[in-house]
Amino acid sequence: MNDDKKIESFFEQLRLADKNVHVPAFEEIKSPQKRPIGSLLRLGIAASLLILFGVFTLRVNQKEEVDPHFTEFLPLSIEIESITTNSLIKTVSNIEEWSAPSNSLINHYHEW
Amino acid sequence: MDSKELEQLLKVYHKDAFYWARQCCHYDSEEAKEVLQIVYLKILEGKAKFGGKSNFKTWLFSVIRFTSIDSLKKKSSFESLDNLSLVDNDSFQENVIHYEHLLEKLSERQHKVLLLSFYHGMPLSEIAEVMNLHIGTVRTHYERGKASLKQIIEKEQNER
Repeated sequence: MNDDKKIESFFEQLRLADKNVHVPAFEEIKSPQKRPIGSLLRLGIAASLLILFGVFTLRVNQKEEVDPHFTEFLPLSIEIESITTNSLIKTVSNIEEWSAPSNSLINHYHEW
Repeated sequence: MDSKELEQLLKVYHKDAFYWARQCCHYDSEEAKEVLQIVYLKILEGKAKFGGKSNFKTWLFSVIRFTSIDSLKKKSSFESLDNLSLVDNDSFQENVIHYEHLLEKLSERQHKVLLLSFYHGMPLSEIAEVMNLHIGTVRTHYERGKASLKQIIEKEQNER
């Protein structure tokens, strides 16, 4: 019984000491607390990832939405040699009419 | 029971609930505040439901105890709860009796059983509900806890 009194007195002292402890108001506890920076950061990262994912999906969808009747024309430039009949005309020069390219040197050598 | 009635009951027991939360969080007021906030949210959002089988205070204390265990586990996943002591050693003054520090020398269960009995004035049957223990086990912790605390107090008195 004496032991119980000692213990009761001990807890009575503890109760008295606890009177100095600040007890937050009920409303303060009940209302939502400010989110810690860590959770805000996580929320920010998640939001930016979501936005990036959204943009990516939008772009992919845009690429897939191609009009099936749409025909794309590619300008192709093909160079074709002009067809002429020049190659068919063959001029054969007569041996009598032929003159050497250095003929002029014989006739007009003094001019050189 | 609607949310207004629940809120009213929570208001009535708010002070006791805060002290109990603080005792469950190794006398850390900030931790107790966070735990109590989670508890109130759980109750007001209907995640923890009062069935009316026991006293409201007993049920509330039980929710606080479980929530504080979860909260402390998350914060110190590598340290045993029995070994964890958050009593501020920096503000330790030699000539003052540190009741909280002395109580922390008891085992976790003895500590809680004695607090519920002597500080909060609960009968052993209700303590058994809060601690989720058989009444026989509670009685054992109660008796052993008293004997241990008596020794601790006497040792403290002899040292002074």
